[in-house]
Amino acid sequence: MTRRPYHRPLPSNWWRREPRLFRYIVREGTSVFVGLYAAILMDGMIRLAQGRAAWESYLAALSSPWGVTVQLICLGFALFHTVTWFGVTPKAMPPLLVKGQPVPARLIVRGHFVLWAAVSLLVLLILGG
Amino acid sequence: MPRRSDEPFVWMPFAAGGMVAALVTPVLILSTGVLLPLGVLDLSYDHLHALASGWIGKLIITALVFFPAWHAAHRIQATAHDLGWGGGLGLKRVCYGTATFVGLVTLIALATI
Repeated sequence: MTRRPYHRPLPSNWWRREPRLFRYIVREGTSVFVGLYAAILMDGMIRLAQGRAAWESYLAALSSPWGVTVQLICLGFALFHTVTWFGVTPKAMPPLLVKGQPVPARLIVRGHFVLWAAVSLLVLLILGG
Repeated sequence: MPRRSDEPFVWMPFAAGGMVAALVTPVLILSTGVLLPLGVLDLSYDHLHALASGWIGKLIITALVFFPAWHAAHRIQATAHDLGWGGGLGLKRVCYGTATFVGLVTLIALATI
């Protein structure tokens, strides 16, 4: 005997019908560019291990018109990821209580932006060292 | 004994990767994609080699590569399912396998420095 559960038909363009669904797919789509940049960093560590000449050709590739174009696209999606990720943190984390009172979601989001600024500055200082 | 879900082992690195990608990835792309081409940062071989020479540096760099890669793998396979592009075990293996490979290659490359 076979089971044939009912599957409600879903049109393939469901995510283009409403702006919030489109934003959802763009938000999830940021991951493609986050993953791409992780692969670019992996490549960098391989070149760093290969020595000075390999590292310098890697830097030249990063600075080439194609390298900059790909990275600017990655940067745009990465920024969208950051903003949307911080936006859901109050919903994703366990309730944060201070003196028995829940901390407002707005403050949690703002705290993440402050942390982001601090981390970014630290990374720039380390890389600029 | 009930069969326990393996979901936490997938989801925890996903959440960690989402946070790393949100906090660190933009400034890294800004550095390599904007400030380096503009000449504001030089990212010299000697400086990067020094950063990658200690074990703490190697582990931090590996984490900055692996966790966002795992995060991407998780989202890509889940979104492929949402878009009706199949999904299933095969796609999961490809996605998580690629992320694991990227992390391992990074760690091995750094270990030789």
